[in-house]
Amino acid sequence: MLAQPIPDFSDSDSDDDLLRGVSARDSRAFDTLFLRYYDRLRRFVWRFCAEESVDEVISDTMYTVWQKSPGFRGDSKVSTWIYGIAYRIAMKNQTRKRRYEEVLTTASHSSEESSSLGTRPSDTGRFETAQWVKQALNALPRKQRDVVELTFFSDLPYQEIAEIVGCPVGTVKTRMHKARQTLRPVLEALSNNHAEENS
Amino acid sequence: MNRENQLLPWRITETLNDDETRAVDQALEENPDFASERHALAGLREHLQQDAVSPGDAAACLMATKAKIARQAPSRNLRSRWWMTAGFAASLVVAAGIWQSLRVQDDLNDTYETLTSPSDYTPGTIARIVFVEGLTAEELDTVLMEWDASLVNSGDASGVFTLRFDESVDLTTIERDPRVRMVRSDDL
Repeated sequence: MLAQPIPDFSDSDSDDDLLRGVSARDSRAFDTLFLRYYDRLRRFVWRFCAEESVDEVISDTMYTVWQKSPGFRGDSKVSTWIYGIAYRIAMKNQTRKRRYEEVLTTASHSSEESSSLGTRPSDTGRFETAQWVKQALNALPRKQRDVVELTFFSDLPYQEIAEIVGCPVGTVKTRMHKARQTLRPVLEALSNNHAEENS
Repeated sequence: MNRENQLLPWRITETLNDDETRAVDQALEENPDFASERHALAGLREHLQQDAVSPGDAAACLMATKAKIARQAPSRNLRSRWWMTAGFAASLVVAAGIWQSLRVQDDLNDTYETLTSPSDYTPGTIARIVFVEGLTAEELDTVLMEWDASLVNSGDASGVFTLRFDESVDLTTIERDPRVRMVRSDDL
């Protein structure tokens, strides 16, 4: 297992083939699967934990993939299964800190007046709007926020989101509905911005 | 009402096939009534996606993961199968309990007591022995001392003695004794 990685080995293989190789304890299949998912997981995990913990969560995720691969039944896509593992590990991560919280800490020093969700910053510059959106998202309950991020950042369908976060599809839709209600003022502002930019 | 409008409720419940889903999505994209919502969602997506995590070191992370697999696999395996370990420990405890209870039972069996006749019966190997002819009583006492045996039943009319030996005695050794003609184990 401690051999140097061979990135191009079986690179054309499907995720299912690679996972079968991993389950058969094929180190090269594991290397390929790891390298294939590293960037995706980095983007995915980063939404849910502090940046300094991202690699640790990825490592734990792929370690779990190695351990659990013989039990993978193929009920879901391999990617959904891996994201689900990553999501749960990120949630458990002791040093987990929301990136948005970190951003907020920074933003609170520069923009005291934008502390209210319903108050749009007077300066409607792009950076300020971004901070406002992040602040609005941060105000959401964690489960609603996760669904919003998985939908709009990862572009995942509800069914996959449900499998990743481990709840029924209906629950995902309910969370999204509630999140949309809370985000209504933000969405309206974004709508105007987007329309103006595109006109 | 056009076909896409008819399909809209089914789109919400995600029960359309791919072609129908695409057709409804296309109709929604082009419908000016939904422009505001579309812009809002597009704006939210745009804002979320403009954040980017810094690139990481995939090779280093891979090596760390493989080192973890090599280092922790046995202990993690044991940890993940804690219930097997716990089950094994529990079965040992149960076995020990059963063994202990059987031992107590044996001890009880060692003593045969009645209301009128308490007995200090002790366990051991019982053997019936026929000695060579002409063995005197003194010689028999000597034999019993040598063998650390006790006389259970003195010789009957056919000259068969019943002796109790220590449990560890090897009767084949007794049988080779020149003073012995025949030995038979007679465990109760």
